[in-house]
Amino acid sequence: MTDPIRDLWASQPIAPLRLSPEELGRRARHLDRRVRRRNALEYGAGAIPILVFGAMAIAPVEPLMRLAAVVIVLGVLVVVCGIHRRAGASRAEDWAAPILDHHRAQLVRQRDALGSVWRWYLAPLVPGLVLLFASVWRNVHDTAGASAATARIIPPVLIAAIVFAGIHWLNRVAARRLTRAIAALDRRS
Amino acid sequence: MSRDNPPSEAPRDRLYTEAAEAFGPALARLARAVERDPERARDLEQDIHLALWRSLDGFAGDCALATWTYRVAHNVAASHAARGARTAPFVGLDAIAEFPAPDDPERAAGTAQALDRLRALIARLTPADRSVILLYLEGLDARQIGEITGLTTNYVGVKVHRIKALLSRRFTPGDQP
Repeated sequence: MTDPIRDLWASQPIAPLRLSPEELGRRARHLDRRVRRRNALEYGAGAIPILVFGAMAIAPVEPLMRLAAVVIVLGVLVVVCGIHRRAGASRAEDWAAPILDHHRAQLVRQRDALGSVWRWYLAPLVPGLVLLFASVWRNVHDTAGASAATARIIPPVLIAAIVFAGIHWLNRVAARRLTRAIAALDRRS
Repeated sequence: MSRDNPPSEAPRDRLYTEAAEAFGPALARLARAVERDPERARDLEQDIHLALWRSLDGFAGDCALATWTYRVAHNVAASHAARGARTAPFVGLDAIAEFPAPDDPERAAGTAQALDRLRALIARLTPADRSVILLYLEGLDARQIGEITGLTTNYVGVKVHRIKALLSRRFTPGDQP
């Protein structure tokens, strides 16, 4: 017995793509070049703070400021490595996995990346920032006293805390949404 | 040497040619169903072919070539759809019954309009329901759909039953020329 809807579906006027293996190879290499360029741009963004704080680390500044610059550079390197590791996991996707398994693996990977943003994206920058604020506080303290130093340091500390907390909170909300999506997927399979 | 030019290139190329020959039309229909913009649908179809060709390096014959091909194609399509799903959230098959009918019933009388409506319906579905309905439309049975999606055959059977009921309600034979 024929199914009119299936017949309708099969009757679509389409012209399937015809690609030779040579053409696919060429397109694959083109795609790889684009991915490498995009990655270079992303890592290039990390190079800016490395250059700025790297220059500060070798400049004639006081030792605490120099230490802060070195620790910030190390923190940025840890963040860039984290981005690189997660991009690698994304490229290693098993496209031939059953659809639900593949979809679930994608959601889990995204959930884990978002849920751990504090650990791999924010925390590595905290020690350097704390040292930087301490260095600024001490410099002001030496010239204007403790009250002036504290007044000077509170606004940037507050701004940094709010920005970090905001990034953490937004990512946790997104991770929780993905956890619910994973649970819904598990219930139906 | 590049991963895309291994010494044993021939088996992958032979498998790809076989798969493209047998399932090329289904891959094109999948791309059109997931991406409504014709140019982007063509890009998606190309992405599917590229992912399929690359994936076939790992094909060891543990499943049928058809199963492998449909899995890769639907996974690529689902990733594409997920990237574009920010403005219109997906809905389950059960919620589709609530969709409004076309404003002008006469306009829906042609094949093209019926296909448009069908594609619009499919594009709104969750990835799993979308795959089930598309594989059903491609003529696959519940066992094959289960193998491709990872859903149990019984679950797919229930879904297919609902799909048939939904489609017979929404797309009566009068919709076609």
